[in-house]
Amino acid sequence: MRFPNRRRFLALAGAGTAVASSAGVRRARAATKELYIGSYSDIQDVVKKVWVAPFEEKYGVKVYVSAGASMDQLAKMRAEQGRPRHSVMMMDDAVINVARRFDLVAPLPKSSMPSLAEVYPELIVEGGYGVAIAIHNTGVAYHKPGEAPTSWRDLWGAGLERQVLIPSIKLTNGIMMLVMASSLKTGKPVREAQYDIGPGFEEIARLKPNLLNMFTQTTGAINLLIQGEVKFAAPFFSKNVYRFVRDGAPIDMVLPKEGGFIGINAACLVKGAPEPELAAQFLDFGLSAPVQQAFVREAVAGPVNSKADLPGDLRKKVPFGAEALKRLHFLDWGYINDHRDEWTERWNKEIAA
Amino acid sequence: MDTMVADEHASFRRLTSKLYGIVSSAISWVERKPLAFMVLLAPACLFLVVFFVAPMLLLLRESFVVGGPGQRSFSVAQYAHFLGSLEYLAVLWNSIQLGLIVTVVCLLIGYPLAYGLARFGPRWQIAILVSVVSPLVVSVVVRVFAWQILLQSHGPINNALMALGVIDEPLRLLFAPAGVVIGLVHVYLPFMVLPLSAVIEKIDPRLEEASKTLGANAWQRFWTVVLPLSMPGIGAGAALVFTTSVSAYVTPALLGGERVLVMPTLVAQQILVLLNWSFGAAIATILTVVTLAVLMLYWGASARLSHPTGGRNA
Repeated sequence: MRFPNRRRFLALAGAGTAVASSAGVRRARAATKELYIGSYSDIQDVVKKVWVAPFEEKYGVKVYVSAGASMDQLAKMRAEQGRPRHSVMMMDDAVINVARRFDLVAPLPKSSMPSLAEVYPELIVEGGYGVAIAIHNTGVAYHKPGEAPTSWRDLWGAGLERQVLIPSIKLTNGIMMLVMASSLKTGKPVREAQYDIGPGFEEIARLKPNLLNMFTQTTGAINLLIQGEVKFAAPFFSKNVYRFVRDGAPIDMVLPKEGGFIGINAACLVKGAPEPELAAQFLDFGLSAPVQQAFVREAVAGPVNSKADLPGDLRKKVPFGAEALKRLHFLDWGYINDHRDEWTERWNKEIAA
Repeated sequence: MDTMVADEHASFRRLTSKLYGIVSSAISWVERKPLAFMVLLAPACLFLVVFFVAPMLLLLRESFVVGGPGQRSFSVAQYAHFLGSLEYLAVLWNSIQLGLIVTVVCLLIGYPLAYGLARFGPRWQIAILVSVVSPLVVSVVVRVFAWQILLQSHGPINNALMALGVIDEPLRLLFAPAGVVIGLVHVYLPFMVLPLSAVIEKIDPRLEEASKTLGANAWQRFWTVVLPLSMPGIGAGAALVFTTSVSAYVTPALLGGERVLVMPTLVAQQILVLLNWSFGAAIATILTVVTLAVLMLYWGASARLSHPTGGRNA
């Protein structure tokens, strides 16, 4: 018997594959529903481990995760507008506000999401178009063994030339810094200071000699703090700081006496996306108390479900419970996004370079 | 030893002449069968049209648009806004200045390397080639993060200079223009060295020998013979380095941050953060036009320089 020549062999192999794919694989595909979601990059491993994997197992579905920062996810949603592929997107509340302006978000179906009833009411954002999935303290991070700051004013201190990092206005926490600066200058509470931002620019301009940079890359900024190139970096999210503290980095953070901001990682359902029921089910699963409990422990974050518990050592580091939520400053992203162009332009002119 | 080097030289020459033979027979084939050549060229042209020309035209169109979906209309408002603002013009000037500085530094460092690459023995050639091309092998992010560590005020560079007593306090390298220039020169040096050495290699060494016989010293030989003949290489290298460094985004963003604002930073801010595609497109278009203008000025000048009209002793 002659061994089949190469061409015949390939033809046979091709036919074999075609039969296999048309029968077996397609049947398997029909049985397994697929869901595409977008996750934050920094917590994607936690999302996959405590949320996606148990969900896949429980419901017999396949979930594909594409990671990115909030603005990257918004770009994906815009690119897919009209025929979206992703059904659930995780992004900051501030960005969900922008996504709504482009008509990219569907309201959360309360009736099919029982866990929503257990979520702290102030964490259902954007009028029910988004919901927090994890919350963070936002305060001042510092290099150890340096002294812990007690006030946001300490960033303006003498002898700190090029020793401080603040975020660019591009980042959510860059806006927080600007609002805090305005509050410090005017003496108004943060909630009112955000509507009177001019003094904030003046105060940040006065901070410039102390600034090494206005960072856009959180990881790069954390590295500079760990290496002691700067003494203070603020405002920083607790998740970013404590992840490195856990690995022994010589840094820590505080909420100064003027208070800190709440950092909200949120999620929304994409308008007109495939598998809407499964998507709502997926989001509801992540908000349920058991998943939240596991999720926040791994991600070093505060739970959004009022029934989720948190170990004692974490309670000091992350926002936990209704009382903590009252102490943190919330911002009015609707108002801020209305003015973001104008503020960015002013930032470019008065603060950058 | 010398004969071995000479042998290697000879085999290198043989290889080049063989390559030249292949290229020239290919050219004569193209001349005989232009139609076949166009068929071969079609995929490249199609690729360029789909992925370069079409996006550029879309970008250009976007830059003349105002208003959201449904109410888009033609306007030059984006351009007026940019050109009417002294702060934005300052950013444009920063970018151009940065590109020019990087080009000059690359030329000063790159010329001796290119000369060595063209004229030294094969072993030197390999050593120079590997060291010049190596930055391109490393991912831009890795390279830039490494520079971030090296350039810190308590980083190795500042520490070494302070230990040697060269400086009393740390130099401002990171998040300052100096750091951006260093990072850009590191990666764009090959774009200067490679075209330049190709041109220097083609300069007939007998011209240098002849000028030596006629009594020219080393400096005169360089200034009146080698340099003018290498102008086309300098032109190509400078054009490559200038255009790439003016449009560089990652290196200025990570080494300069917002303390060194350049045009690509503004484009990214408008398009990725503010979702103001029209203004971003306008800034990108302005950068492209200005870059082309600088290049044309430069080419005009260098064309005059490389064809000197009299007055020179040979």
